Amino acid sequence: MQAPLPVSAIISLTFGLHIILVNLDMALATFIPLMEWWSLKRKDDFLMDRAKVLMRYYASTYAVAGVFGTGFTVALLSFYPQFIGLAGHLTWVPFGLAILIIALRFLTIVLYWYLWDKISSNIHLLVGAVMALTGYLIPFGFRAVFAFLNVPSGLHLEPKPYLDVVEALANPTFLPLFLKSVFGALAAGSLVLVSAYSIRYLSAGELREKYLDLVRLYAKYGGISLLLMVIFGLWYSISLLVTPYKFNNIFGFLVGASPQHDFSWLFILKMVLVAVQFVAVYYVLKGKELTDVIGWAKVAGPAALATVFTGEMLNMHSQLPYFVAQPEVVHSLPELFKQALLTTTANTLADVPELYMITAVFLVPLLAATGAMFYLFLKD
Amino acid sequence: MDPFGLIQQWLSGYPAGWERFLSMIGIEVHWFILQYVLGLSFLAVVTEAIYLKTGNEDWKRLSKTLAKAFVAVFAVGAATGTASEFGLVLLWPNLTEAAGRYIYFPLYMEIFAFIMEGVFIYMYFYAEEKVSPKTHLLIGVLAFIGAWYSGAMILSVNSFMQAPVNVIAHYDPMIGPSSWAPPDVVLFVPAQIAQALNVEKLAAVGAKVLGTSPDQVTVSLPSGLVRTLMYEAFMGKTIGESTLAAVIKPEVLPTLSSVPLKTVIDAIVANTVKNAGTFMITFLSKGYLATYLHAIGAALTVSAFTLLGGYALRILKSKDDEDRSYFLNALKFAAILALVMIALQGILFGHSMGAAVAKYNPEKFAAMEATTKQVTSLPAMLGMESLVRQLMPLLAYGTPEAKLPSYDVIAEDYRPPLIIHYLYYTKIGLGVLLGLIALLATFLVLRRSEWPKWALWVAVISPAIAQITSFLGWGVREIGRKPWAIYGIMDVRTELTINPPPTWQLLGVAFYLAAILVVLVLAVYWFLWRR
Repeated sequence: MQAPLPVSAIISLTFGLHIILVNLDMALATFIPLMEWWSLKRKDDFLMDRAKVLMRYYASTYAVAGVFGTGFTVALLSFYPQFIGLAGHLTWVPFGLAILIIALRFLTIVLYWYLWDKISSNIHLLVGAVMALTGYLIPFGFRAVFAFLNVPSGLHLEPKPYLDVVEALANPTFLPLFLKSVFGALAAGSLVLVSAYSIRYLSAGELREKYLDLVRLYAKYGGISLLLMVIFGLWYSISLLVTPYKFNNIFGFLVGASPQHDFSWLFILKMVLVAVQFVAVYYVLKGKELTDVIGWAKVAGPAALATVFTGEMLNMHSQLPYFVAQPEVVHSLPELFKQALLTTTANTLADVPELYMITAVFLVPLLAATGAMFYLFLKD
Repeated sequence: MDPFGLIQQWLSGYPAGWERFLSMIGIEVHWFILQYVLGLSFLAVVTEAIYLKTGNEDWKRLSKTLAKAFVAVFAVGAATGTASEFGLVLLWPNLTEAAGRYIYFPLYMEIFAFIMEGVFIYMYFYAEEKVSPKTHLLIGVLAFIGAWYSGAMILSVNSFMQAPVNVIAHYDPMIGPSSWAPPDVVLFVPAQIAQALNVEKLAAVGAKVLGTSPDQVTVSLPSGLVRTLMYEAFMGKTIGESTLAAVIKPEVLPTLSSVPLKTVIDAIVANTVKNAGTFMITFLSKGYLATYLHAIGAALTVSAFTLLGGYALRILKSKDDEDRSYFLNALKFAAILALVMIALQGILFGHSMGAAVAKYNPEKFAAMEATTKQVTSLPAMLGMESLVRQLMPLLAYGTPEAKLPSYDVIAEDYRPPLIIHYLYYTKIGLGVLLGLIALLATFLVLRRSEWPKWALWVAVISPAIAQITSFLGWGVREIGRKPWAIYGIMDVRTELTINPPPTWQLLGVAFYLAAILVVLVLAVYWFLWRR
């Protein structure tokens, strides 16, 4: 038995929205200071203007990513309080580091945006570099926790349950997962920019060529990042052999397995989306007809975001109903630990129809408002 | 007890001193910022509404400045909120687990408040030119409602931790100190569990049966027993290893002996929560309304004084007269607002809060008033002891015949740290000082006279005084909650992680968060005033 359906839907929705926005967040925080640097180096006002427009958009939306992240954590706490309690006892170092970096990241975003043109450009670029760097350090902590949920490396039960951080970082699934995530985010961010600039191209008048240059530039970065994501993704897939339950659930019949929950269809969907991105990048870079270039450019971004979403859903759902993807480990633990690591029984006080009705009543208009916000920011 | 002894009692007299210190810093950094999100968002909307009504450009300018200020701090407020949230999970995982299991509802509902805040605050700031003025005002209203709604949710949880609906404090002010007894906890025990309990043995440890029905038995248990059982449950003991074994019928004990105690406690507490109302339990906590009004009042007071200080500084630093009229108008608004808010806080909201503490947390009230021979109280040092002792019963209980609880009569393991007496009276003193500053400022703006330089400088430091006053208020509330995490139910040793971090890491994180706050304050100052 998996998690109760409404619980699964709420957790998947909040996490999915969070992760899509976080991927964009990482990429934008990298590209914006880079664009500022290029513009200063080349004395190119067009690039500086683009960097500022992007930052304006980014400054008005990045907190929304955090909001959905908090939403995900609180939903998890409400439905699986024992799991959160257990995680709290064990994860001071990885979560603690992530917290410190989150606080620094938000501060650098505020400094970078609100002090643009109010401090020297070198200091501004330095703040931008820290802003970009923190984007990679946060998932370093979080992906360490995700890797722990694949394989509980570093978990010791005697004399009391604790986590050996060095052993945890040596988790065979950690490094490939982290690198795959980083390049996945860069690919998604680049290709969203390819789509966005291709739309701008259509109404850019005399600046059309400049926008087309940007479309091709980000297609190049997106293509390289995508290739690296695939390579590290392959490494991650191989590393998951240490957790056959999850490996078989992901690849199912593709590897001749008869898993408990076959998610190979989701894996195939993800691969199709990756293929679409490669085709899009090819046509944007090599296409001879402008309509092909623009047409495929528009497809690249949505395909990239859909890839991120399907990838995360695949990674999350393929280990259920276990929070730690090794059933033999979960079943060998003391009863209270075992209960905390199973998703089958959600908090009985929260898993009630009234709460789902309240969720729908509040969430639907707020998601509509979020959509309205993005629409207003993108409107000329 | 000397000052060092007071600090030692606070840090070492209860478990997890440095963990509590870090939590205090983390939550204070968050609260420091949050007050502006709560206060300035409201004031931006009010000033914008005045502008739409009057057409006076000064109001528009003021509204925009307020919006700039709160949008700049909002994101870091969200980040420090995330840090506080994770801090609670990592340092106090058992408390977090209990909150998630039993009183999750307001936390869950806060998700929607976060989305509302995040979406409408940014829309208010960034989409102004893309919507009509009335729509923009409406977006602003939704933004501040999001912030206030978020506050209503989280404060209900805090209020529950101070005075849960099913915990009964024992103190009768008309009888006096001898009437004090440890609080009792009312629990609804499912019939299946109740059948396994030995009623006579339970009565011997102070339990009382308050009612029975086919499904459950309503009992009141001494909080001392409840906190022991909670501790044992979260430490993973079985029934056989726990205190509960002593009140289990001998014939069923062998069968139940190896059952985790947490399973039984969970069934009882979950049933109790259902009886109180799963969605309502935190909102029914005693003193919730006073808590909410006092917190919102603090946010508006701090925002008003920050406005006063900010514009006073602008007048001091301004080299030309171009903006002077606008600065003076803003100063007038800030001064009157500061006076209204500090009066409301002191006379209405603060008073309600104090009366609620006296009624529902008599141990904390005794520590706040330092009704003990262990220390010299601040009123005694100032030669005002007899006046305060006469006045306080009237203020707290509404009659001069009432008597204050005695700290020395309270059993030792129920006493809060005495340091809160000094924090409380310092807070009162600073509140009075803020009142005087607001009076002076209002007098000057209404007389339309030139502000003397010293008065402007007094106004400049008033935001710091307001922030310190607010900080001390939370200090009294939270430090005074000791020895409890949830009054009458769970104590500090139970909520703590089984893997406490080293002290250097706790202190390092505390300083790091404080440093981030300092940089943020400087950044906002540059953002608002640097050309």
